[in-house]
Parts: sequence; C-alpha cells; structure tokens
Amino acid sequence: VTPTCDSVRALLADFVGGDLVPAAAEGVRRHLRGCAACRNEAVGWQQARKALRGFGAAVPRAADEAMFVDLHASIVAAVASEPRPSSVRVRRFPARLASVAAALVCFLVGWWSVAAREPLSLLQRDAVGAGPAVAASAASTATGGVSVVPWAGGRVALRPLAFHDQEPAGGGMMERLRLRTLEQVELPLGAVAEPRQQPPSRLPR
Amino acid sequence: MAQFAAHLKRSLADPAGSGSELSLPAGLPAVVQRLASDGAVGDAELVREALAGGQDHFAALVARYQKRAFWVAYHVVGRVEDARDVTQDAFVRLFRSLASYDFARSFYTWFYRIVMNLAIDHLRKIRSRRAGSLEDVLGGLPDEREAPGSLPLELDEQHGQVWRVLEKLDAKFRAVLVLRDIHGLSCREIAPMLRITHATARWRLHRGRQVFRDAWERLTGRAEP
Repeated sequence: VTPTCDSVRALLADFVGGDLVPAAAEGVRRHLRGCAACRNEAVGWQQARKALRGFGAAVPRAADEAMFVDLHASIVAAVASEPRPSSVRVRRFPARLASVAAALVCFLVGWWSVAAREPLSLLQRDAVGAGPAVAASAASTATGGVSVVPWAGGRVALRPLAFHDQEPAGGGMMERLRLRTLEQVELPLGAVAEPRQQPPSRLPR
Repeated sequence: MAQFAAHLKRSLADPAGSGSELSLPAGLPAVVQRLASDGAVGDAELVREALAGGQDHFAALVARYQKRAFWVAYHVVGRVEDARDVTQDAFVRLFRSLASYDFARSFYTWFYRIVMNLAIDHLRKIRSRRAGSLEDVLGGLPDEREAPGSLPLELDEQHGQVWRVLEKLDAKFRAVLVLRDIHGLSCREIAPMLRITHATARWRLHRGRQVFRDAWERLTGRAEP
C-alpha cells in the first residue's frame, strides 16, 4: 500500500457514491486501473452501496396502491377537522422577546442572590447587625465598653477584661472581683448584645 | 420554476431510483388530480390557495408529496405502519403551520424537514420503548413485543440484512444516508432539510457510508479478520 493508495482509498466512498468532482474522479479511476488492491476495496464499497439501493428499491407488500389511496383519504379527513390556518403570519418576536426577558430576570435574580449573600473577603464585611447595632458597638468600643468582632455574628461579642484607657488591673483579689462584676455595668450593646448572664447571686467577699 | 419542475419530475419518479413512475393516488377528484399533476402550478401557489381556504389545493399538495414523504419516512423508521403514521402526522403539521411558510424558500425542503424531524423523533421513541422492553426481559417476564434487531415483516432476508445494519446506525447518519444514497438528494439539498451546514452533511454522509459498509461487511462475512 503506497501513500497514493491511502489517498485514493480515502476518496472511494465519495467516488462510488458519485460525489467527487470530475477531475478527482478521473484520478481515482486511473489509479484503480493499475491497482488491484484498491480495486478490491472499491468493489467492497460498491457492494455495500448496491445493497443499500436495493433496500431502497424494495417495495414492501403492505405499501401497495390501495394503502396510498387510503392514506390520502385519511390525511384529507384529518386536515378537514383542523381549524383553518390563519393567513396572517404569526409573529414570533414577542415570544422570543419574552423568553429573553425571562432568561435575563432569572440571571439577575440568581446573581443577586449569590452576590448579596456575603462579600468575598472577611475584611470587606460590615459589622454584624447593621444600623443601631453598629453605632452602639462603635460607641461602646470608643468608650472602651465592648468590641464586636465584625464578622463573627452577634453571639460572639467579646468583652475585654479590662479597659485600656483605664489603669491596668491589679493582681489583687478586689481587682479581680471588680473585673468579674463588669458585666453589671450598663453597656450600650444595643441589638447585638448577647443575653446577659446573671452575676453570681452570692459574691465572695 | 425550472427547479421546481425538475423536482416535481423527480418527486414523481420512484424514490428508490428504479426509474418507474410513481403515479398519483387513484380515485382523486378530477380537480385535485389536475392540480397535483400540473407542473405549471407551483407548490407556493398551492400553499397560497390552501391558506385562502382551498381544500382541493391542499389535497393536491398531499397527492403530490405523500408518496415521497412516505418512502423517506419508511426508510428511516423501517415499518409501513410507522411510516404511514409519520406521513399523516407530517401533513397535519404542515397544514397547521402553513401560515408560517416562507414563500421565498423551497417548499419541499421545508416539508421534508418536517417529515425527517417526525421520522427521527419516531425512531427515538421506538428505541426508548425497546430499552423499556429490555428492562422487562431482565425482570424475568417474557416480552412478546418486537425485540431489537428483529425484522420488519414486510422485508425479505436480503433487505432484512440491510435493515439490520441501518438500524444500528445513529439517526443523524441514517438520515443523510437515506436522503443521499436512497433518495438521491444532493448534500446541498439535504443540509437545509436537516438544518446543518453543507460541510456537516458531507461529513455525516462520508462517516455514515463508512459505518454502513463496515457493518455490512461484518454481517455478510466479507470483512477481513
């Protein structure tokens, strides 16, 4: 098998089917005259095509003239029961426009629901509990009250053990007691303040 | 008009290429017979008159195209009853959508597209039904329905072998192969019917022929081991 044979064999299907331009068909014909292997290959293509066309020419017994007469009558009868087609050409534009609009709305709703859920970066998030809660936490932070971790949610409001703008807490027992009672101090936590824990009913004295 | 006349002549010829003439159905009313066989009356004119309420004109369209539609459908679905149903369905759909016919385009391309789409849909339904019947068999129940690969009763053994091969072809290859190699349409005509490009039609034809030939040679024992 030479490269010429390969290129000819690639054309055999079209050659046998009559789909080659005359110049190419003549080239294939010339090659087949001198190449028995390719000729044998072409015979295979011809036999397959002949079988296919034979199948096409076969008329099944059930498809006789009476069937076609009956088919024509049944088609005409079926169509007679249909409403008359409108001669006004149906405009498809509104339907297409509506489908595009629906797709756009779906896209926007989907995008909004995803985009509005949470910012990408923790640092870009707002403080938990917008509005009064933010103001409250900011005010309390400014006064050294409570700092709210912005991204952690309202239930994780941190309470410092000591205020930095006050004197450092001492190590004495009274000082620790003072720190533990800090929770009783009125802190402007607003809406984000977690439920207060009741101080121990009996404090050690 | 010359193109239409040529097509009409071809459409009245045997689709299988045997050269015999396919007559119009017998027993047609005289006016329908005259309209259907008159090459001077184009398809577009018949459509226009049918839209205006001319039932005879639509009947003439049916007479003109029903055999062609039937044979295309038959060579795709492989059974007379199924092809008959597809043909009737195609004409009903044609009637319903007459108003959307673009008079600047070829009628038969448009109509054949309807026929081919319905035939391919029908084929897929048959295949999925067969898949269902296979599940029944696996479930241990005897299935009296048609098994995959069984022959249509109307075909003899020789054509049954071809049908077995065709049946295994993918619908998109089968459609092009039937239209080109059995019905003699060119790839330029086939492409708009199947809503594909000319290059795609040619590729599918080439590939379909290859697959058909390989399967045919395997079946008939000509294939090299």
